[in-house]
Amino acid sequence: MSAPTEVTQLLRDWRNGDKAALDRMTPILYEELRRLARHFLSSERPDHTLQPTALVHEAYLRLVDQHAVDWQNRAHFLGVAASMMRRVLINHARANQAAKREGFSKAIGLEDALGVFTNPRVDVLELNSALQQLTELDPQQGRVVELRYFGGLTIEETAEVMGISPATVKREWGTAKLWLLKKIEGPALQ
Amino acid sequence: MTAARWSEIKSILSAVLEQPEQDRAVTLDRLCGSDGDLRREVESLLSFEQRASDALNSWAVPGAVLRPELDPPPESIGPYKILREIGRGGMGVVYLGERADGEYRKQVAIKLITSGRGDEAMIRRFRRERQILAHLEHNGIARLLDGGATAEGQPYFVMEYIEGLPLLQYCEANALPVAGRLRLFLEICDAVAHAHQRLIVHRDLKPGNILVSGGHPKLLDFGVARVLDAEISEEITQAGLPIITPAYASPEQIRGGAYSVSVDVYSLGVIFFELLAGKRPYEVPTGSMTEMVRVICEQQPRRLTEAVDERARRRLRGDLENIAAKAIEKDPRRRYSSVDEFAADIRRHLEGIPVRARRATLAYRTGKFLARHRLAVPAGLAAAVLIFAFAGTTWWEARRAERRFQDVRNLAHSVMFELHDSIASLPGATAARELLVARALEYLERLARESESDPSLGREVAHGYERIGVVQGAVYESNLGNYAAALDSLKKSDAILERLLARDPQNDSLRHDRFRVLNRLSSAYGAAGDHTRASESAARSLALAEASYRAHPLELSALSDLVAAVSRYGDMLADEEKYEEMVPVRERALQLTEQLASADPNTPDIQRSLALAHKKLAALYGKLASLSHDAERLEKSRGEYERALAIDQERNRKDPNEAQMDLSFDYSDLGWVLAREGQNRVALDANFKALAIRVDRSNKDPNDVRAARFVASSQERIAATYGRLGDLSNSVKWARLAIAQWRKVADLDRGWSTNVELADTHAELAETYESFARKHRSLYASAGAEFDQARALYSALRDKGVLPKALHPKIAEYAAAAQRCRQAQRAN
Repeated sequence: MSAPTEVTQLLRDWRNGDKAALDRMTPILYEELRRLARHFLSSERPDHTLQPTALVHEAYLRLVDQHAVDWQNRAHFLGVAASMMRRVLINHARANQAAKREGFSKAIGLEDALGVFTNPRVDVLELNSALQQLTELDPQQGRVVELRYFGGLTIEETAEVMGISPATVKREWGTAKLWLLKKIEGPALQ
Repeated sequence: MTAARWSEIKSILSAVLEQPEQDRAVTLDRLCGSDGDLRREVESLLSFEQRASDALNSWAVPGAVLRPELDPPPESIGPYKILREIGRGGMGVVYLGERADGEYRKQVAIKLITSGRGDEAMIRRFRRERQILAHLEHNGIARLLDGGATAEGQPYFVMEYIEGLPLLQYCEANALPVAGRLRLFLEICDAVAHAHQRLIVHRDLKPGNILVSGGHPKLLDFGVARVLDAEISEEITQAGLPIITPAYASPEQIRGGAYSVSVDVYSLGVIFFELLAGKRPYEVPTGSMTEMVRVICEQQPRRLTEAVDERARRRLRGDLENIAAKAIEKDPRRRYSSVDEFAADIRRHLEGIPVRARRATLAYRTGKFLARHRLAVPAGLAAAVLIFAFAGTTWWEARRAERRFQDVRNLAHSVMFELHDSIASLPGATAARELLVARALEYLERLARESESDPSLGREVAHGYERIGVVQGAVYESNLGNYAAALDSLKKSDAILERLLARDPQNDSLRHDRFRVLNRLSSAYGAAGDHTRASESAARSLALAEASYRAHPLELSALSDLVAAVSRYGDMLADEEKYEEMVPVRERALQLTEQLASADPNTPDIQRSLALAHKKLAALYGKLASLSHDAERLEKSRGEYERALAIDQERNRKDPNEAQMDLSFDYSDLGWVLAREGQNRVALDANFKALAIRVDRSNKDPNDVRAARFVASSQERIAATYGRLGDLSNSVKWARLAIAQWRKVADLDRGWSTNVELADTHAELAETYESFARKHRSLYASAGAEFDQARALYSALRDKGVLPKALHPKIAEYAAAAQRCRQAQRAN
């Protein structure tokens, strides 16, 4: 595991305006997520404790020196992890689709381990495509969904990461859910 | 939709969402004005509000709550028709179903796994596991019946459907007192121990997996964890990461190390705690993995008495809290080393005997007592149980114990599955036999090399040879060569146990092992036709049972082993046709069974054994009477049958389902004695009583071939009795009914034996006609016709190639009889 100080410092640098710090953090985070997934994910049931969002939080606990950063740092870290987790899930779903098409399944590391948690009857890809459309209409709202849904951020954390008020996050989140559900499920039966 | 339009919609939507229901229409009117499209769009989005409250909540598994409504159940899964949904959890949905192709109508529970992937490896694993599970037959374990994958690749398991409440709910609903809860828990232990003896570890025991039905617990999902556990697949030696429920998971499971029966002991410990305290020994935090691992692996759990109020504390203080604490020790070596040991301590508590679990002393904590602990090897039978009994003081020893477990497990696997599979698929059994011998002996010898100085390992090897012997003996029923192999293995097992027992003659569990092996050896000799050696082994096993009984005269298990041994010894003598020698043996068996029954009067099985002991003695007297025309013994025989009848009548009053058929045998056997005594009228009455029961049984279940056969057999006996009474027309009438019944049976069961019965009934009718023909010579024609029928049926079976060689002479015999009758008729 990378020393907590390394990621902590990267987080500080990033917050202080060093955009490249994020890029340097990404592979470390990815490795840690992957390692955690190998270690824990395959041994857990999805109805208990371990979910992708919990995994993200776990990675945070392991990578970041708790005493050296404040909760805002935590939110930013989770924000990064949320995007990564979204990518991971989407990759997994695509790989699964491809594997089905080609009639074989292949191990794809973290994405594979996450498969344990993805309900095959729910189409992550469908959700992703709806979310992409929403992001085109309203980038801020799309990001709110990404942070809340894929990163497991609270309203407050989301507000911190995005630099908007919690009330706005709440409104964006509430209306986004309706929009996404309608998109995915089609017009509700009256 | 444009961004601007969405922005407009969104602001109206936000405003409306903040309003209570009754104000919304007004707000919509105001904000949408005359823009009908806008309003329709907003209203359509609002219609998702209900669902959105549950959907997409951030901490959920992505997608899992996206569709909060329950999907309608599928019409069918595999060959099963789905009746309704009965539950749902994180892994999937459980449906009530029944076999759609009518193969059997029993209702089943079908667990559809929606959160995993039904890949090839999992299905393979399932098949292999199912074979292990097929050996789990215990009233406390729900049977796993079937499994597979849907067209979409979702795996499913089919289990026996249990109607009942989950353990904790049941106890709450019935306000069960502590003693009642303990008894229930002991039954759970019994079921788990049964599985452990078969080297099967549950790994996910929790109250939700235990249903109480009819006052008795039933364990669900045995083996499911193993099947779903991807890591375990090929490399058994490399223990995989288990799928588990953290609240009941042991530290070694959480750390992902090798697992053994210790994990079930731990989970049972947590269940035990919760059952008595209503709370768990610690709360497992969700969310943080680190914290979860810390709590399970490091945090000292609270004591049972710390979790309850003052009133409950008084009851739980001392024994029960010590037992609970010992069961959930973090270090598996300090836990109970087997479920049996755990249960034994609870029994000790219930009987007021000091328990083994003690509050850890300082000396204990510092590990000074580890050496002593090592001596506390449990009385468990299975190799699995032994792993942590080697309270290994060093890491290396622990590793060796793990490897040993895996070796034995591999062995069991190899013998029970690879062997079974090969035999199923190969035309000749030679390859399978080679596989068996090569693989199994390889493992055994490896263990044996280590075992010279280690009695427990020696015992494992003996156990291994025993298992192999059993498989060799059971699988190749028709192949004499393999009886030799089975005998060889069992003899090896016996020799090892004999040696161990010589060194430690007071060891009860060793003695019990040898007792069991000798019984098997005796059966194997019997099956190989060596009745002398069979009876020698039975005598040795009897001697061991006597020794155990002498050592523990108050233990019911010792007494019931002795009963079984005496009874078996009697059977051996019967095979050797030593009838006079059998008399004292059968009489003693009866006397011991009576003793057992008076010690344990309410166990239905023992009452049945008692009736059976009477009947065995009755049959022996009957046999002796018919050999020597001894009227006194005939009367004794009748007396014993009458006593058996009285017991079965009482049993039948309590539980007609269980005892009904036994009762019909009593009447039928009694009919046999009475007929021999010449009391044909009374015999007729007894046979009619037997018939009535059998007809009733057969009507209740028209597909019950056994019942249908017994109906025919009773009709035959009635026909014969009428014949002896000189009542030709009734005799013929009942023989015809028997023939019709055998034809019906033949429709149900197309095996050759039914047709043989049918043919023989024709022959018996023919003989009846023939015996009356001396007075009414015209009957010779009928007799000849019936003999012809019998012959034709036999010939047809022979032509189909299904008639056993031993029965071929019957064809000529009946042909000759038919010829004889025709000649007599012509002479007329």
